[in-house]
Amino acid sequence: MSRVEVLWSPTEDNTFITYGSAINLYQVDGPENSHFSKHPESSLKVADQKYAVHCATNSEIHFIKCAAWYPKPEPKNLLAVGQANGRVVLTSFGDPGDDELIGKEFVPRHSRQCNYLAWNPVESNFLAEGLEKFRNDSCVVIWDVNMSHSISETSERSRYSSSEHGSITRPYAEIGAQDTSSSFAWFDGRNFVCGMNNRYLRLYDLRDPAKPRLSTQHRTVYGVCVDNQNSHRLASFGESQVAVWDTRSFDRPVFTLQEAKPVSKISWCLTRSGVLTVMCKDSPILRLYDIRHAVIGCDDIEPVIIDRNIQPCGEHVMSSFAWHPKDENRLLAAAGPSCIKDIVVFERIPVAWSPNSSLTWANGKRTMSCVDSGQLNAQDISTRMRHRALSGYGMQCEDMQANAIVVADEPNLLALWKWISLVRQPQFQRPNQQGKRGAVYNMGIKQILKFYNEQSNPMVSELAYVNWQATEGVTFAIKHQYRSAERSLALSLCGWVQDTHPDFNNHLNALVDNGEEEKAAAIAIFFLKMKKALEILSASATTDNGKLNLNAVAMALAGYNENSNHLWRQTCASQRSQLADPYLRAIFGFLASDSDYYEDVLNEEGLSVEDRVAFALTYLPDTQLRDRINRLADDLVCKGDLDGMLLTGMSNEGVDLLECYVDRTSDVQTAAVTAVFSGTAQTMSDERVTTWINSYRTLLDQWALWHERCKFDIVSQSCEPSVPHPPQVYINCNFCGKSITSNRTSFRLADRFMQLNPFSRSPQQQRQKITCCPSCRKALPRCAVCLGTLGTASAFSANVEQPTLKSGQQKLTLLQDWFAWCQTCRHGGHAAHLTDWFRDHCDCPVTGCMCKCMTIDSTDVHPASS
Amino acid sequence: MFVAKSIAVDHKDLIHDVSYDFHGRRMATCSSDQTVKVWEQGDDGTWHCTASWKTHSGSVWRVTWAHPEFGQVLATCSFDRTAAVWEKEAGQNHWLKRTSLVDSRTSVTDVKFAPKHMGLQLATSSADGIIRIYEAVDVMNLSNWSLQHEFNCHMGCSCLTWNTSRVHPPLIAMGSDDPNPSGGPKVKLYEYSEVQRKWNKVEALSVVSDAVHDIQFAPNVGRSYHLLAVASKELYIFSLKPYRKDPASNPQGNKFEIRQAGMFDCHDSQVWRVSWNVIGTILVSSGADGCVRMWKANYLGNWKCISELKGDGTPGEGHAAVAQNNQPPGTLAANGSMGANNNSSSSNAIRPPVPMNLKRNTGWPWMDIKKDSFKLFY
Repeated sequence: MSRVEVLWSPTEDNTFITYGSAINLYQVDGPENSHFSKHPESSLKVADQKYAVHCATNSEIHFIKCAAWYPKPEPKNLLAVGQANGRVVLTSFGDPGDDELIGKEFVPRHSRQCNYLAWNPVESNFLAEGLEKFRNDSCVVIWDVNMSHSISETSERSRYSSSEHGSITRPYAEIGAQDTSSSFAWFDGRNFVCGMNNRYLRLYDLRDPAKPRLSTQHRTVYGVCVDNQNSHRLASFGESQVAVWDTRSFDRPVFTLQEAKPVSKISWCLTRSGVLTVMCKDSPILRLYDIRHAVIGCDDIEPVIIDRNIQPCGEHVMSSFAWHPKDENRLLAAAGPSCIKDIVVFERIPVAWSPNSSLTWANGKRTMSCVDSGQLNAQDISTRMRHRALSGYGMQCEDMQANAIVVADEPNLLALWKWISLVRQPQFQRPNQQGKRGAVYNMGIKQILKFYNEQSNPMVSELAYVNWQATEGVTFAIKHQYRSAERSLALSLCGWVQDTHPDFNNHLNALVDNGEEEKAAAIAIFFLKMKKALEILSASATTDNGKLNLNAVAMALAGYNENSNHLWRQTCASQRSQLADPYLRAIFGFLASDSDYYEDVLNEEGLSVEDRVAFALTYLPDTQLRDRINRLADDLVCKGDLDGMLLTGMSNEGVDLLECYVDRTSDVQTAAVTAVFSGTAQTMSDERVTTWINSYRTLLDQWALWHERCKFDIVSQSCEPSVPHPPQVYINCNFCGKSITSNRTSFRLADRFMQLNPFSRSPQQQRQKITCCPSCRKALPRCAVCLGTLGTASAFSANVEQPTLKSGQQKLTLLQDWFAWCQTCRHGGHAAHLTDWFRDHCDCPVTGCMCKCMTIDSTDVHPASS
Repeated sequence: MFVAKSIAVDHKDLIHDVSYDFHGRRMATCSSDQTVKVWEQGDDGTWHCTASWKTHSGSVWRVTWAHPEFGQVLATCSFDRTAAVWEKEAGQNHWLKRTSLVDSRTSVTDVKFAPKHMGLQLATSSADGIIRIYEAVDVMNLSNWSLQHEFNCHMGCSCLTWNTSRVHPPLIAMGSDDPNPSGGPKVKLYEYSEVQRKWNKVEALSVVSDAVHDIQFAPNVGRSYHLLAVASKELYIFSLKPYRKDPASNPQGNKFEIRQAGMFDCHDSQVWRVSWNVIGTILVSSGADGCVRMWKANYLGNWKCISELKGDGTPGEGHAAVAQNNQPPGTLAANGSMGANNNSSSSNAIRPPVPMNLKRNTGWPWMDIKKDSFKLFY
């Protein structure tokens, strides 16, 4: 395969050439671009979403050895091409136009191979050419392309026999007689370095090309290149060795890198400092060395070189590569005429999540910030928790169901909230052992049935024989139910109303109104009210078109009788599974069951936990009931299913359950809120519970939801009222040193004279203004702004516009009247006056006080999120 | 799906780290151009650079924020063998160098503040394998840091992370970028023993044998296990569940029941960075393929890629389509699924950490009323 070299345009972002036998111009574009649709056959896929569109070919020049792209944008696409005979041609694509540079030729004295071409990046009229050795001729020739050939023609034609018509033969400068030159690089407009004679690296100044400024002897004379990010740094290679040089200490390389294979090309990354790219012969791998952290001039520490291998063209052997001059880390790699890749070598991308669920990462020198659009993260518990907190979840301790409304779209939490609110009904309050705490809302079914401390006082249930209440004239066998006070209580915790209760029918009607006809019918059946069940089903079947099959169900139910033959039961059993509604399945399971064997109902997973438990509470004898409930509770605890809180209550087992729930969902919010609402002294001391509460508070703080955090603290405090929160600050009288608010006696005294305590609940109208210490009657300090004694209302409070509050929302005290003072100089006054003052000043308002109160101690407070 | 906005950062060289403060309203970036920039989010959500200054005389590897309780404090570490602590001058957008920690003899590769409940402590890791724990002697005067502990990991450290749990003893995980795959485990866990007053190695994750580039503990919000993400040749997610003290349940004397919750060979060759979201439910990773991927666990604790973005901000080829879940069957310690845990009283048995430092008023003004009310107010 012919060798292919690639070159980026120095001026245009998406243009490159390939040269080998001919020069081809390509333009990189996205697939949507019109170029691609016009010429799909001439396009190369260079990246996932990029195509190189073939724009032009220049095949006029033969024996191309090297090419260099003119560094200025005009004339467009001007190339210098070096040929095997040393001739340099300036060429372009398509119509040559009228630019005088295009078509110029430069011919050395004697024909020999051209090794390289290099445009001066600053003074772009200079073009350096490197040549093989020929007698006494110079090996490095620097041409001035602006030199008019008429001069050279007239004066030099006679001298150089090999010159042709129109070609320029007199160079601007010549260097290195009797040598051969293998590589060359410009530092800037003046200085350059070249590798000569297979032995020397020499630095020259263009103003004095006669002798080298610096010279060193080393084998690595090929591919010399200058790091454009650091003009002291050079790299060169020879055989399988790569050397990195510093021009400030040029006698030996800074360090060398040994490759396994002979090196064929090296290059510095043009956009990154200190990244050296090395390509070896017959290798598909490009090695990238980050040598920036190689310690220079420090012998005791090994150079830190981070290397990285990339394979841009898969398994194909690389033939050439070129770094993009502007786009960061963009690399064009070629493994053949048809295998060209335009890739970006990615650096380490640091990523970070913000607490507010937005993501930021840096890409090279740029930073991207990704604000999620919520689609993905709305499902994540972190955003949901934040949303819930903003909606007041877990902060409404009067009306528990209001908390549930916030999470109405999360069915797994509804059962929990139903339990939390039900357990607050007075019949579940247990006389408290400690006597100190008020209400305890931790009762679960297992506590009610005394499963946790069964030895002392086990539950004893009595057996009741209950008849079916069906149509007249039909008698069914008696069913066995079990009753006890505990069971009744537990039933009501499950949300069931017993048939003996006057509200039974209302309860069923409420369910029907709720659209839960099947559940109502099932409960009626479970309480052996066949007639009621039939009424419910047929009534709903007539009213609601959507549930047509209920009529058929009613019909099937009506066919039930106690002596029902085997066929009815068999049909029931086989058809039951076809029913979509779990409650209907439970009904038939119940009816088809043999006496006292209710596994079909109890194992009906579609029934909610509370209904299954309630059923068990009605029909299972004590030991079976305990087994059943313990098994169910264990299962739910393992799964971390919040439905199980109904069974366990807020016991140790309940904490275990919550722990599993947190492990599974990370929903620490619900765990913390549950613990606060239904915790006991025992569970509140559990380390896990305190962790949840603290984590949740930290989260709220992190989201700057401070008001929500405070509300949550208030709720937790109200649920744990035993320890009052001590005040954070006391104010002492300047003279007698007694606190003016702290102790009760002075409080009472103060009440007589003054209303200082801003937390006082007495209405403002009744407050007396007092301006002295309650114990020694010395005056309180004066406000530094209005010079009124503190304790009086600030004078211009009336000027401050107050939002008109509805009656009942009237604030008891106004913040503007409060004491405020600088923590450093201890000067202070009315809060309103001070805020007013510090709006325009940063110094203390007190004469002679140098304190910069406003700048001191500013702690960059964020506003609260809302 | 995602709107990626570009921020004109204007660093002169490669950015090595991006870090958010506690509230997510400030951001710090550090770069090879030896500077750190601090960014503040405006009310309209745009980021403004409020400070930019030269911090070191070498590439700045990492930048990290202290908890705002200690003020506006940053720590940086650099190739110039130092770590530095910076504090914002009150009222001005000017950052002052409070101290330079010069103990390391090699490049300081990572710096991390300890969780808040441990007070103002700082851990640094260096390329010669030494982890140092510093503590601010006086939180009001950040120029005085004392080197509390120093331990050698016996291989070059590239990254470290603190466990954030309050109820467990302090725990640090470190990763090594030693390229030799046969050089032993590249992730080690060190735990602080209050009794011995020293850091002891408690675990080494032998599964990870390739160079580790980044490591991070998920914020522990009260889960009974810790999640650790490791960026190596593959992306690893480990779940570490502390054993109970009871020796019967733990005959080997291990500290943790370690489970490999996920291993993904996704980013072509190397995973560079990992980061957890605020409660440790979503992990984001970046790798050599220039992609940023997000990972999330499903109900059963299986981690899956849920979305992919290109590093330049364009969406990846297929969101969620790349969920190649090569969940390995091999777990380090046989265990059921994460959720199934019926001896969950385990964490009861773990002794709470003894207060290390009385001046930390954690959770002020309310944390645990009974325990702390006398400590806090006097």
